[in-house]
Amino acid sequence: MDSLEVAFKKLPQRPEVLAPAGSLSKLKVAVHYGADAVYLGGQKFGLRAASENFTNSELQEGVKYAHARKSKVYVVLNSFFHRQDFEGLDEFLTFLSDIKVDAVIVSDLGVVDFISQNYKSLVIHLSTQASCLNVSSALFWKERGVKRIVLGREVTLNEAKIIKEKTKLEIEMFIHGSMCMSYSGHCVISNYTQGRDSNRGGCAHSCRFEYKLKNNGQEISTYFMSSKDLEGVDVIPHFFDAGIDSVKIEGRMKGPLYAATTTKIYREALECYQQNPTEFVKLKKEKGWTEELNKFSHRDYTNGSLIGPADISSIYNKRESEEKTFDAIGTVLEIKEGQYLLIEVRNKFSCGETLEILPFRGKSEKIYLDKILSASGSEIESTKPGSVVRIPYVKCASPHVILRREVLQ
Amino acid sequence: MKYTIFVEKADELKLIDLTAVSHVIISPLGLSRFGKTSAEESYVIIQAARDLKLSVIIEFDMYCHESLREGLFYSFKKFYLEALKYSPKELLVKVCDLGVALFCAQELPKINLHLNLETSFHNPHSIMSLANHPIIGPALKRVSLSPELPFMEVKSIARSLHLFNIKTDLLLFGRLLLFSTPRELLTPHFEEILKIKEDLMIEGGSEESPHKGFPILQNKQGTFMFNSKDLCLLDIPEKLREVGLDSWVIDLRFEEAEKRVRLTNQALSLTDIFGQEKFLELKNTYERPVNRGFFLTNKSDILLPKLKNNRLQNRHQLMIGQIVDVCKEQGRMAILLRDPEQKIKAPAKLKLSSPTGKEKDMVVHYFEDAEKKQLTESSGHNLLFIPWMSGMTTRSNVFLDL
Repeated sequence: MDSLEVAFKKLPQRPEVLAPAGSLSKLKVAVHYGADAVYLGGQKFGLRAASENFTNSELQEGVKYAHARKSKVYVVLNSFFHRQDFEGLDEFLTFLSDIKVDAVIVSDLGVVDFISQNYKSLVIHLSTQASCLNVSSALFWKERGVKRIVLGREVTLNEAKIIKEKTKLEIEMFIHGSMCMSYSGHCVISNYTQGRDSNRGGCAHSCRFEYKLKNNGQEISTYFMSSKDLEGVDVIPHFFDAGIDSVKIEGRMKGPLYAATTTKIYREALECYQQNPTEFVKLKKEKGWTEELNKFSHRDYTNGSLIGPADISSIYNKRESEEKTFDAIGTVLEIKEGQYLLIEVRNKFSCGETLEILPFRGKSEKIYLDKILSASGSEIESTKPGSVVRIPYVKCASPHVILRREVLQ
Repeated sequence: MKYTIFVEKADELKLIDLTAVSHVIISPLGLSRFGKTSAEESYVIIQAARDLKLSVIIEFDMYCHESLREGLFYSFKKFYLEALKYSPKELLVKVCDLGVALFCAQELPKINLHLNLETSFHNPHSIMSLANHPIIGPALKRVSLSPELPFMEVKSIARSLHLFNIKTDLLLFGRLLLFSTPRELLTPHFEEILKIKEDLMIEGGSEESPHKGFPILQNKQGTFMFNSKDLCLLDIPEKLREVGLDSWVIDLRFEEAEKRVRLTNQALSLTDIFGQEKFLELKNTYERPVNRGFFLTNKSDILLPKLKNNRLQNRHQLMIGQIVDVCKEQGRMAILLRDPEQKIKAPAKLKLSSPTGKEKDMVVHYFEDAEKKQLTESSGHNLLFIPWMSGMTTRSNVFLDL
């Protein structure tokens, strides 16, 4: 064994970066920005009934695309099934097995058993919806054929370490994004108040509403059930210490700027810690990871229950707002070397503006727009969302990079 | 039909007409989410129940965080082994957490497990899987089914579980838990009160929700929110008989003892002989609004398919892309292809559909790339140009017409 090999062996295992893919285009963004794996939903069986999700042909293309770039694809089937919901499941599982998805994420025991018995090639991950909080529960699921547990958001990293050590299961934990206030999978507010089954994709986000709390004549208006968003950059060393196999970024419904930034930052931060743990705090400051995570719309951040049980400081207690410092402008589709960048426009921009290119790795770069051309080559003053335009060529761009613009406060 | 009732003190049993009662629920402090009854009082209730030939259900229904697991299991084991000394007719342990169920069945092989499936598993496959489980299955004696299940489903699952000799129950009269969290959500607003009181029950409502008057409880286990209308199925006695459950649960744990006893007696009397007047009397005593929940129809089963956005969900497999630029002067339009890897060959029959619903067919004999180079097939292009067509605007969808 030579010295380089010895040094390599000493590197701690880096947790996988698992990014959300709400659509095929977001899958591509996540893969290019460094996702080791993405999770996505088909047309049924997931918890985002009203979102875009993937058709079977998109799923097939997504798997092909991700696998060609060494990323894995996990498909969510994590609703709690009622009897009639099993219709079409067998057919869909056959399809998933045929296209070789890397795992399915499941909550329901009946579904876990059905897959274990009939689809031996499909790897099962237990969804956070199952609220697995302890070693005994993890062992129950292990015996049913589950290979990985996505722990409940109430579990601390210390607890996760024990669960990992005692069960030898793969452990996945959330590191970033919106959080349920309730024990996941056990909240039925939407079910009874709006007839929308939150555990079958109909969550109406009642926990984000403003409530009036009344007690003995006292009345208080508050967002008492709304949780702050999870942010885990600071506690990355604890993820390594606990031996966590995968860190998950929440947000299949969020836009490409979110998917790109979170994936890029967590991949970079995890790699930095892996290679140079003693310099992590210094690098975090130098590279501005926390600042980058503030550049898209989000609620105030908290560590949630990662270090200790979430306390009252984890309650957001504000109306939802669109506070952000940057807007997503578009995605680079194609590059004509030395001539132009072909951009799919997400938000309107005009000549004379300065945009930023968020490269897959490294610092963002500014780009001044002295000219915009339509896709056909005619000069235009400003763009329309949904259109495709040409902007001046810059060297640091590559297909799929995101363009953003600073929001003037 | 048999009934299960909740009591907090043994004395309550003396005041309740127990003719049709088979089980008593005890909620011990430190073991149950809502537990208030001390271990000593619990043992007194167990003895009283034994003398009255009633079975006892001990709630051990906390979600068990790993850091609490050993301590919690130790406390439970101690409590349970002591409880057995009072020779109850039958002692059931009601749990929510599957880890707790597995631990109990492994560590205490003679235990009678009672699974609370009010949230989580709603389908017969999952429930039967628990009944068939090599460790939990033999210990499993009773299941509380979800109040979200409609009548026919309850009937079917109850029948299947009987084949395994597993009894079933369902909430008949009481509060519906909507939400629970270990976080202390009321503390920021009622800190002073919570310094003095361990538990605080208040009422909440939202302008953004169609309902008001949600009871919200904070105790040592966290925060719990209940539905604004409590479940009451007492006015459909024929359905209750027909469904074939082993027991119906009257759980009035959040009432003061005296009122609980009165209401429990009123409810039991209604199950004996139903009368509209008696029912109204009960509703008057109870004061809180009640409804039948999802027992007759699960509204979410009806609404769920409507949540699917058809425009997004039923996307045509032959859609190749969308028009993103229309240049009448150049006589061409740009299609942003959905899949640049897909080869589209000319001549091609295309169908175009504008956002306003206009539809047109066209045959394309060649395509162009951005540099106006003619192509007979696309290959790795994001953009493909086709001849301009009147009425078609940006965001028109383009389909291959086979």
